[in-house]
Amino acid sequence: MNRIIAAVVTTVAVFALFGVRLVWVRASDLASPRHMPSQELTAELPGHPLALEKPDTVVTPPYHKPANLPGDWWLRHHPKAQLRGDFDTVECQECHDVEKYCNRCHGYLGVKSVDPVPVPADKVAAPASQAAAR
Amino acid sequence: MGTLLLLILGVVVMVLGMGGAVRAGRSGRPRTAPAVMAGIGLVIAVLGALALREPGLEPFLWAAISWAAVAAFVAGVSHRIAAWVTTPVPLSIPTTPAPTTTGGVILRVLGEVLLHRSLIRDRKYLWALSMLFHWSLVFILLRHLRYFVYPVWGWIVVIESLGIYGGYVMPICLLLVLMRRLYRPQQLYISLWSDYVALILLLAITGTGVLMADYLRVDLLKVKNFTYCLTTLTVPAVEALPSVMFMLHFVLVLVLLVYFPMSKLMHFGGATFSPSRAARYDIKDRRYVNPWDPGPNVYETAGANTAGTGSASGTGADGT
Repeated sequence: MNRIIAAVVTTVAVFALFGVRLVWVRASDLASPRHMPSQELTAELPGHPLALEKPDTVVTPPYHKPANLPGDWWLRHHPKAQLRGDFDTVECQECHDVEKYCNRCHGYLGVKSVDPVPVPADKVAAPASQAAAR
Repeated sequence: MGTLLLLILGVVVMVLGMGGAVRAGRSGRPRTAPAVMAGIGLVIAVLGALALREPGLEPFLWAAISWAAVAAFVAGVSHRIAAWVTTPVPLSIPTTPAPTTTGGVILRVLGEVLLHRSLIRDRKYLWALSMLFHWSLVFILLRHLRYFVYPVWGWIVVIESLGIYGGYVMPICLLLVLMRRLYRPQQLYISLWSDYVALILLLAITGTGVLMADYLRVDLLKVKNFTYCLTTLTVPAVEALPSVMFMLHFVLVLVLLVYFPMSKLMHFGGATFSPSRAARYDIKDRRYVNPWDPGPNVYETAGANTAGTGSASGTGADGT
């Protein structure tokens, strides 16, 4: 009987800890929103605050969004593509702001951040056409 | 597809439970545990069928099953540990040479847990396999913490590479251990079904993990959203559920959580409670008396006035 009581008490205590964590997260969100719902991070172009307009001098790379594939193909496969050497992160920064586009998701998922590097002047992207500032 | 997976899982668990109940009945053992397993499988199958008709139910089902599996794991592990803690060990029985101080005992247990000291003296290749497997498991589990916390702690990002490499090393070690168990006649003779279940379950989990990492990649944002909702006791949205590949990996992990407390995998806790390791060798400094030993005159013959042999720890035994 003591073992059963110990098992029940331990389980209730663990779920009570989960409940305390839930309350803490909700209270923190009310004070200052930091838990980013994943849907906001995967919204499609155009006009989304994560994206930037592509300047005329930069051609969209062919590996960026292959035809006849699901819209989230690039989202799922870009880590492997980068490790294979299909592209370098410097090329991403010709169109995208690293802090807004890469590191928000990387921070959410606990992956190493992309270091911003200076991009040549003729390849700097146009200001983003966001609907609302974030 | 996730709902179909639930239905299949429920049917499989139900069939396994029914088969186990039939086998238990034939061998005269109690049928309670397999019957309970079959009942749980039936409930999961019915809920999966309901969710097929009502897609809005799916997130609630996944949340309920996940929390039930975690509760079963926590309750089972604490029940087993409570059993070990409350089991009396009246005599000092550490395997010698053994330390005589508490600090020495702590170092011995740490050496056993972190370095598998006793396995070094047995077979070196087995020790190497064991170390690779267990340390890969440690780094994989630590890296998986990133799916359950936000903001993600900095040290989890630092060990990213170790977790990735561990994900490839672990299934290789499992395959080698399984091959050893199948191809060595001595191992094959003494192996039980529980040995294979643990290995195959872990192989399935690591195999689906490697598939997701390299070939059938999933949307990690949805995965993190799903797991983070579960740890904050929130039901995720229907459209935010990850793909079936991740759900398969997740279901296998839930099965492992439920199976863990009743399996040999509880050696993770047993190593620290084993009286042959976690005890000081101080029989020369203090006397250990077993309170359940019989009295000194158990073997006294009728009519004779001689003391019986009794037990070595009994009082008043002359041993004549």
